Amino acid sequence: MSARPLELKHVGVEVHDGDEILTILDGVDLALERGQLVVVTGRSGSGKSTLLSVAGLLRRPSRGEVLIAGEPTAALNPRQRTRVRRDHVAFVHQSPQLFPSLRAVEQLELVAHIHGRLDRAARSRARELLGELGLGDRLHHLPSQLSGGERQRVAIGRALMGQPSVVLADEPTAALDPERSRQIMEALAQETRARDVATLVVLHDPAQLDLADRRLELRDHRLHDVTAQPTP
Amino acid sequence: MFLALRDLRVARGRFVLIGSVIALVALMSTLLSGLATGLVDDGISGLRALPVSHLTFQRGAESSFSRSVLGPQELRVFQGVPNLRATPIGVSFVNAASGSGTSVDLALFGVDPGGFLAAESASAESDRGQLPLDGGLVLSERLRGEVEIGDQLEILGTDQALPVIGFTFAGTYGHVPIAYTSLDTWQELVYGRDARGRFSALALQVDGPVDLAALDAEAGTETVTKVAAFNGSPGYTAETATMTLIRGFLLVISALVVGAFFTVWTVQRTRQIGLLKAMGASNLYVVRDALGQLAVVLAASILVGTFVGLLLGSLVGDDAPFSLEAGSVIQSSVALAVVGMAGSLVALRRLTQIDPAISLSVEA
Repeated sequence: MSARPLELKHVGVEVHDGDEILTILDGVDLALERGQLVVVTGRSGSGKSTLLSVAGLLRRPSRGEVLIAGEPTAALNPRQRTRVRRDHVAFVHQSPQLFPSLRAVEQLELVAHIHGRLDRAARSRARELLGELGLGDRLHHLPSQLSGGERQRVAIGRALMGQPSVVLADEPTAALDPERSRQIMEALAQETRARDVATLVVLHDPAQLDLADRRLELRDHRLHDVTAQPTP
Repeated sequence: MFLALRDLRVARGRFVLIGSVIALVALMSTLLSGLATGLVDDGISGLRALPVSHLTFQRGAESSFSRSVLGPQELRVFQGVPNLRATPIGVSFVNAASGSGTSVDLALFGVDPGGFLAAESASAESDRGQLPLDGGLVLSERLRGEVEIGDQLEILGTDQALPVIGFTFAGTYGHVPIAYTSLDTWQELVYGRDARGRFSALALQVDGPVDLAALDAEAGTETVTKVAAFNGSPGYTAETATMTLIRGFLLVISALVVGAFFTVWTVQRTRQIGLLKAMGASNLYVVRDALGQLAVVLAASILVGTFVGLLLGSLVGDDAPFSLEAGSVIQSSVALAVVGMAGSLVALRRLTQIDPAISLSVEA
């Protein structure tokens, strides 16, 4: 049986605010399976983005352990964490955060370049991915020449380009209208299942919650499974 | 360099701007290099062309011909020494006027017509094996056209007029064209009829082991290499120091400009760099990308600036002391590239410190 793409065990995050210690996460447990889209909701400031940054090895937790593809990461040095992140984790951000100087297809090729594998096969895969995301005729457009929805689809393609185990998405539909939000979430859900990756999405928009396999709510510094509850 | 090259393509305007500044610095550096070489040539090319390895001066003269007076007593100490040839040389500055009213400044070098200086300084035109010095002047080629062979040059301050009997590639000394004459004539011009065999310095050719310090101690003299004697040339030290200072400042300014640009550029790209790192790019990857970008900008700008400098330099006439040498141009270009890279170190350090978490809006 292959290891879970992402596991958080008793993760706690505290930050110092002057003399005070603020608790952001406390005893968070989470296990993501392949092909599963998990949505996390919560009030603003509840620690959703902190959860993503800890899960994506961008930030060390104060307590607990994060396992990526079965590999414990607490004892890894920064270089090793970067290597694990490169090989297993991908992000989709609130705003697409595309590189202004790269054309759509180059945004994906950059991932292969970072992996040290920018060959003919990688270039071809970048084109295929964008084609599957409905951007076959936008391959050579700069971000400034794409619409908001197209930019976010390029960002999803970029996230999938490195064939990650985990995709972490931070409110990927925040800047889009309802119709485009739906399209983006459907694309994420479809790619999650088609490529057998685990996707963790922080979401505000209740209209998209039905696409999730599991729904979690971050409340009182902990994750609560609300899948059984009716969607708002 | 995947991202770096594409940044150069898209943000062309700002890179052309900083490239223009670096190119201007390279242009100035090339012109200053030509001026520095030209000034040095103008100051000591005649001395450099002398077929000698060392020069012996009066002790305390600090390699200056005008402060040094030696005589037969010192000459005897240096003559007959194995591996050593020594010949007296007299050097002084005079002003001369031709019958047609042309006035020229001359660095008058009085040498023994039978000595090795006269033999090895002879040019093809005047060549009879020796410079034909007796009773006349052999002038630097630079004066050809201002005066002609056969002209009588009256040495101002004396009652003597000397005929121009030839030209040679003697160069200049202290920014003044050299004129060779016989040592006897030189002594007569400088000391009148009371020369008592005096001259300015001894020109030496050392062909093997010679204890020059012992000879100096015995003669009460000071022997220096020909290159060290350049410092005694009028204005040489001040000119080279000034040029070095200006070029040094130019390099410092260049380092600051490049450093400031790349620091601002890095600050502007902080989120992008954070994103790159979040995507799994190592510090090495990010630094290599930035260094590659810097190297392309520096190389292109320096090439353009140096090329324009060479072009402008080729237009400078004989009126200005300007001379471009491949070695010094390459040296100043490489120095500019090195200080440019050094100037960017602050920006590179900042690159390595950018936190990948910046790519996410982390909530408190």
